[in-house]
Amino acid sequence: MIERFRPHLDLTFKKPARTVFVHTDRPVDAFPGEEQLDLILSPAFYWCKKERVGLKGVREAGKIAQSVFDGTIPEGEYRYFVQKTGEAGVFLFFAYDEESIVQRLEQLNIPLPRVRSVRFAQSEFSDETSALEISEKSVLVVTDGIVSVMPRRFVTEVHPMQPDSLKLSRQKVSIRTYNSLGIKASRIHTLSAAVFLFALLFAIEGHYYERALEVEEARAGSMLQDASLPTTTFQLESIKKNLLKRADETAELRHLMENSAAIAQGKTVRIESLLLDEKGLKVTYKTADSKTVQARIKKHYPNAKLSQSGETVSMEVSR
Amino acid sequence: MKALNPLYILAGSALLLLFFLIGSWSAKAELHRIAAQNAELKKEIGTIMALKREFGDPQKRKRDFQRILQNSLVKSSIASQTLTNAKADLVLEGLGEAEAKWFLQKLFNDKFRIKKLDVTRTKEATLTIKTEVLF
Repeated sequence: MIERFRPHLDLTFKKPARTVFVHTDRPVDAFPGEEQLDLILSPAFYWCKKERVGLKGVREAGKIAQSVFDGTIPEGEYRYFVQKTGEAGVFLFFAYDEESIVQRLEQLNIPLPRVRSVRFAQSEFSDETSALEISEKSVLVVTDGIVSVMPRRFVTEVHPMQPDSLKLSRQKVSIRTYNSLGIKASRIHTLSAAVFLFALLFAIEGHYYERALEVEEARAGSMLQDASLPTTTFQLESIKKNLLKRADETAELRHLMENSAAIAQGKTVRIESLLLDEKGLKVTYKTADSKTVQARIKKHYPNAKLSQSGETVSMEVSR
Repeated sequence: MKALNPLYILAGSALLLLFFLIGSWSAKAELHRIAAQNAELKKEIGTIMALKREFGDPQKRKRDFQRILQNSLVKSSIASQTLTNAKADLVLEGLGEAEAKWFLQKLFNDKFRIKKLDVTRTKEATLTIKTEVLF
């Protein structure tokens, strides 16, 4: 597998950072405060091989990275990356166990959420000419361009290591069991699973609504079909309008007749003639009490035309 | 196989959630809209059907009208009648006041479309009714 170097995802604004060299027997300070940590891992955390492979690019070399380490390192889940050297066709191959690195960092009490970047000692110290002190027992040395750890007793001259004064390279290693948000990968996976589950539930719900929608859309057609009615709103409106017009006409005629009858109430009044047509209503009443009849007419039809001739009162109402 | 960054998986899941959430919401809103539309349509169909039952069947209206004319109260008073599928022209002569009242009540209570109605008192207690009814 190829591990391509890429900038570490950092969603935070720049905060004060501190560079820390991490080795298994190097005492690690406590890390109070909020400062970010740039870790340099000692060669104890990874495997490195310098090989001449006769390939041109890192990409091609990356394809054979796994086979470079076959049988030479203990079995495990490794990730690989390849780095160019100054020599054509010669590459540095790295293999590292991400999980075990994280576990060891946790054992060393490194506050993982504050780790901003991780680099390998190979990338940061390959140009070093003198031995650097790691701890009372170990030193960091560079032999043939390869950074390694050596017991201190084999080295006569040792210089102190000052990680904070180093100008860090751009060769960051992506350790995916944590991220710049300070959340462990396992938690992110759990969260992702929960979010995915919700997505699934909404997908099922959406599917249910889609099906219900199809049924509901079909229902409109079947309702109209059952009632033997046309399917367009325009036609329905037209039918309804015609029927309502008839209903209104009937109601109007009924109202006119009811009022005419109400005017003729009592033994002293009777209808002599009644003509109802498209123009309106003409009624002739015969009565001995014309004032009462006229009052009744005005009450029911304030705009009616009235005429009187002896005991006859005529009324004309336009429609 | 190259391992995916967990944040990418989370982002992908979140996008998926958003996609289905919006899909589900829009389908739900659409369903409610169509259901409301159908409820309105059902009400509309009910209104139209009720109106059709009363006014929309000329054959039924004609049968109802003929049934009225068959009644003994008015049958003997029919002076002339012309019945077509669309309308009826009718003249009733010598109707008593009670019979005339019954006939007019039937005409208006059964909601016939009366194009013309002419009621004339011919004698002290008898009436003539001329009417044109549309079916």
